[in-house]
Amino acid sequence: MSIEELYGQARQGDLDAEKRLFDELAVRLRLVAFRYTRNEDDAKDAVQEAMVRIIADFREKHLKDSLSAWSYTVLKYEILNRARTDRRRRELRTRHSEETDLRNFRPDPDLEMNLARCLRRLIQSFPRYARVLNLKYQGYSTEQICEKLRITRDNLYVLHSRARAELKGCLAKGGPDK
Amino acid sequence: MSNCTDNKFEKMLAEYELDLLASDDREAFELHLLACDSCYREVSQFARESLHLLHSDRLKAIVRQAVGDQDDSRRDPVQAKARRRRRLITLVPVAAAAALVFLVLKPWQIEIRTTEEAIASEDRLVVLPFLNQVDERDSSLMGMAATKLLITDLSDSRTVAIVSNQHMEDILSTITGAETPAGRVHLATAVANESNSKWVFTGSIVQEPPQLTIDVLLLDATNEDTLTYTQVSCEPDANLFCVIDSITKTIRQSLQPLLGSVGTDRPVAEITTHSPEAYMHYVEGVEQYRKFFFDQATASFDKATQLDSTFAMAWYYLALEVNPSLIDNAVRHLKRASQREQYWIGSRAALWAGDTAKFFAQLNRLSQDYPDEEEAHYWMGVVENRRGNLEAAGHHYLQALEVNPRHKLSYNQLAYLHSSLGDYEQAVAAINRYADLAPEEPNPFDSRGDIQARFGNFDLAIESYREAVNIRPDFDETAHKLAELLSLDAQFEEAELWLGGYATAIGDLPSPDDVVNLTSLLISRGLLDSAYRYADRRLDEVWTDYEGDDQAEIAELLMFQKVLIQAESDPIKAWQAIREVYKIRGDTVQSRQVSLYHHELRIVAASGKRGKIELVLNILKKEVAKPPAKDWPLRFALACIALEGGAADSAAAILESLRKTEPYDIDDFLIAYLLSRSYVEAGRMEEAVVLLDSLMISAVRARVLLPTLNVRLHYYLGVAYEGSNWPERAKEQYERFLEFWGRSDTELPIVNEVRQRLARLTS
Repeated sequence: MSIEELYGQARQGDLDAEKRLFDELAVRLRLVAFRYTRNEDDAKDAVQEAMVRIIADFREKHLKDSLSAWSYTVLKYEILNRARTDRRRRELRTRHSEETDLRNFRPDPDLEMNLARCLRRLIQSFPRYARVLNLKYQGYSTEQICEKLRITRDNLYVLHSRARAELKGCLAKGGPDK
Repeated sequence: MSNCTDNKFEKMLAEYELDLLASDDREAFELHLLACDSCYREVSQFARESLHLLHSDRLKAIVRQAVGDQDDSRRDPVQAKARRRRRLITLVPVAAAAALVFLVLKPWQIEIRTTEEAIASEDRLVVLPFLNQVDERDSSLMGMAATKLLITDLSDSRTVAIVSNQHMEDILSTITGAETPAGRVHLATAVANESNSKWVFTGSIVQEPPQLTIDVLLLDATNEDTLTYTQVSCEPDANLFCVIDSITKTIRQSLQPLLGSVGTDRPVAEITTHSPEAYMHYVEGVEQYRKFFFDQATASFDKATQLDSTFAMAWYYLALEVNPSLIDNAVRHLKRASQREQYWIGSRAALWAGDTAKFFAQLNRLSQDYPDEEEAHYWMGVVENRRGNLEAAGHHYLQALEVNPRHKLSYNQLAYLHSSLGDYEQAVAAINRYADLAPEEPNPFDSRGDIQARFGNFDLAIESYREAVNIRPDFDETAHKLAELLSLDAQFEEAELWLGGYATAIGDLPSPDDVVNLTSLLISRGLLDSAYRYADRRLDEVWTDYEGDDQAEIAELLMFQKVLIQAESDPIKAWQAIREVYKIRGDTVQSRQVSLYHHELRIVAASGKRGKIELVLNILKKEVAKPPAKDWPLRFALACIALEGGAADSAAAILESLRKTEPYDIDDFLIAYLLSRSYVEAGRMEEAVVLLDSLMISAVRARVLLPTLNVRLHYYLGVAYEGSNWPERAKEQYERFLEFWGRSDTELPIVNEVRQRLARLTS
């Protein structure tokens, strides 16, 4: 059942639906938060704070649009607040694209090592993919990357899909030589 | 990759994982993740890996080593610079790009230069329109009301300079951005940059009355730091005024450490109205007024004053729209307006009292105290324009554009100003800028049509008017102008559509002008018999369907149309009929309308009846002897008699002396027409061609009101071209003539003649 369907039932007093709704919402919101916080602990905290607000207010809201959209809004505000606090604490000022740049990325050593091996192998087969990543690191946009590589967006999609599949396969085997 | 049913999002997934999506797309995709199991699964399964790919220094080093210097940004400094300034929201490209616009006042030239230089932000606050999360479309106008009220309150407290509502809206209309919080932060900073503001405020209504609750966010636009993020409501009664007062207090407290002194603050109800309902009607009215929907605006302001008779600004707008004397009500309750609005009320009252010195004094003070008030400069320009001080007017409009480079009305006025000075290119440049800024409003296209028509570019004017009425089919004046040009271009069906077609479609009566033009249209098509009967029919109805001045106006013009038709076959009857027209207004001989008099004289001359002609000449000679002596009727009559008697050169000499310069009014057109005929009949073809060519691209109204003469222009021009040895052009004109009268329902000798001439040229 989708989040909106669960929401509809929960509003009618179905407590079971309500529980499932918040569980499902929390899981999904954590994935979104993770993109911004770059670590799971901070993502979990941010979602927790957001869920407090969502659970407190969801009955009173007269939402004409979706609960998902409103919840997403609440989460982004929470992340924004945390980023402000974090930035002030570190005295970082930036005008880069990520307004929620928390710089809290903490690599997983095991995963990073495996990825490094798989990535080296992948680059041998897909050198263009390395260029995509490199251009991304330098801050180029999608359009600029495609222009430089003389590919279309569809090509980029295919390139990333294949590279991704290769990486997943390699990581699943535990490394390129296994 | 994923089995998402939405191909668009499936393709976005790759770019999302590589963090290559623009902010709008990213947020759309993230919302999609909340709903799509397939995409959610795919992303979550690779979430940690993709994050490492993006942010792990070790992995980045591997990639860079593999790529080498193939895509070294050090070799592409422009790209590097562009990337540093990359924005995540899209700015709709307008002529002035995303940077601040400078306007240079050169004599009558608008020179728009853009600059890429960074400009230090000033101590200025921009208030974005409030979002209404409860009602996305803000159909209750609560968001709009909150925005306007806050701007009024902050402006009055003189806490900080506030970007005007108009300027802020103008900037927003050229920027696209997401409505989600992260997107709005970027939107907010973009607006702040465009308006050179250090701070930006945005609010979201999360609950509507009776317990109004607003989330507020105050940002430092220079670094996107949040100064304040909180939720505001009121106890026990969370009405709009209480909440706005609280928000103002919050903003003042946040800015005080940065600004020092923040002035005093009055409760917002004291400087507007104590009735929230009245304020909502007022907000609605202002919005309608800005879009030129004057009838609806009047109704809204009326309701506002009914709810609160002390609402000064509602009276102010009613005075603008309905009756200037209502400004007294605004003045009486002046203290119930903010300081800024007091200047507006004072200036308008002075203007209508004829005290222009005080008018300018008030607006000069307004612009000094509130430098962001571009409208002050604009209105000073308007008044100078009316006084004929065009240079001063242009200067004020340009000052308005310096404050707000997107001030549409200033462009509109500049366009007409350049048009008055005969500078077509500058006029069109200005009006095109207006159209770029407001592509969904009919007014810029209407203005452009006016300018194009004035310079004789009728085809372009037709296109411009069409754009206007396609946006608003009930834009009556434009529809009327379009119909006129179409009728002159023999596009009869479409002309008829716009002549009262819309009105009758919605059950209204055609306007007096439309009734007359519909008759004229029939005449233009050669359907003289039908036109005569149509005019008769409408004349019967005019006494029941119309009232007051409309009655006399339609009756007079319809009867005149009948005179024109009768003159084609029976000048004597036409002359008798024209005397009946005079009786409509009860005029004496001396106060007869000039247009009727001219036609009476030429029709009498055309009758060839010596007795009648002598009678008229005797009357005219007596009139010349009486003060005030006017000899032009006698001279005009003599010219007409000479022309009808075959003395074309003599007629031309008299008519040349009677001519005025362009632009033609109806009488000037008649004189020019007769003069062109004189030239043709005197064999002075080149002079005829020059004069007729100029008539073809001018005198629109006259030609519509005198369709029998208008059609004949093509005949005479054809003859003149033929006589000047330009057979192809002659053919074009004869063919054009037949587009009008080729299917006439009346036997017209001139039609047969044209057919013969054409046949001769074709063979």
